[in-house]
Amino acid sequence: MHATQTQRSEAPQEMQEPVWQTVVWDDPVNLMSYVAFVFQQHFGFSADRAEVLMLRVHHDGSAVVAEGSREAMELHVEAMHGYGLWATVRQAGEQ
Amino acid sequence: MKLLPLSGGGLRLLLDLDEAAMLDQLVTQLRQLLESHSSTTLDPDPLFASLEVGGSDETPEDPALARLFPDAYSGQADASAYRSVTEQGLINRKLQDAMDVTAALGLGGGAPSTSPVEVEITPQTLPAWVRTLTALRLAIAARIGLDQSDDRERLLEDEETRGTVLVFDWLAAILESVLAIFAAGESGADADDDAVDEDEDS
Repeated sequence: MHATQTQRSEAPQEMQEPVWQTVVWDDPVNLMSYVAFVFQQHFGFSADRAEVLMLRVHHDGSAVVAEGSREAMELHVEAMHGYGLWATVRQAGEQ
Repeated sequence: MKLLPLSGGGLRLLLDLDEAAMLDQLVTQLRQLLESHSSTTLDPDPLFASLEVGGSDETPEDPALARLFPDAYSGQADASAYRSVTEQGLINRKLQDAMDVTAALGLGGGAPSTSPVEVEITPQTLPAWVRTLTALRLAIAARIGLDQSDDRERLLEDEETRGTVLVFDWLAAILESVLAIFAAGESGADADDDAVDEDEDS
């Protein structure tokens, strides 16, 4: 299971690899049931977890659905685009 | 349109002939759109078809293509670099999905039958179906300018776009029903055992 909270530790991070995020954005076309389905199918989230993230996308306009290396996030975003979700890669802390 | 759950986790989709013909035509148009943006002929060998070469590095001008292949980064340089190594692969996989749906509908060639068209959707073929239905809805929405959630109502009232919005809603109804049947099947029995192993894409 991927961490989904944005980690914003104040501790010095120069020694650490930067954290990248997969962000899924709300759009007026994709069905809520479909977005939750994609989260289960691709990330292996439980139905409840997928529902929570889907609702976060819907209500907040976007949600971080995965964090990790840039390469891993790029693969997730490519899969999201394959499913027709609007997703982007960003470094943690960017808006 | 009717859907019947099947024991074993799949479903049977029953379409009237005119419904099946419309879906087949829409998927064909989607394939033409994707092919118009593809710089390589889709190789019948899936090994070569999955090679991610030949992608553009610019956001497509066509709004439907731009929505199907969105920028992965907000910065232009990163978005271009990413697109140049991923886009052709995405095009190929969407084409493959669309061809799977066309093949399952089975309308190509042969005398048209008058009976309903029956298609089985299994856990294995589900991803190609839902991705293709979604790609159609995204392309249609982009074509008629359905960019905000409140655009739909206005477009439905406009004579010019009303029919297209009805098709858009019909595709949503199929997608919603298909997902509901699969979700019900999974939450029924052994949800933990077979929840996560169907899709290996990307």
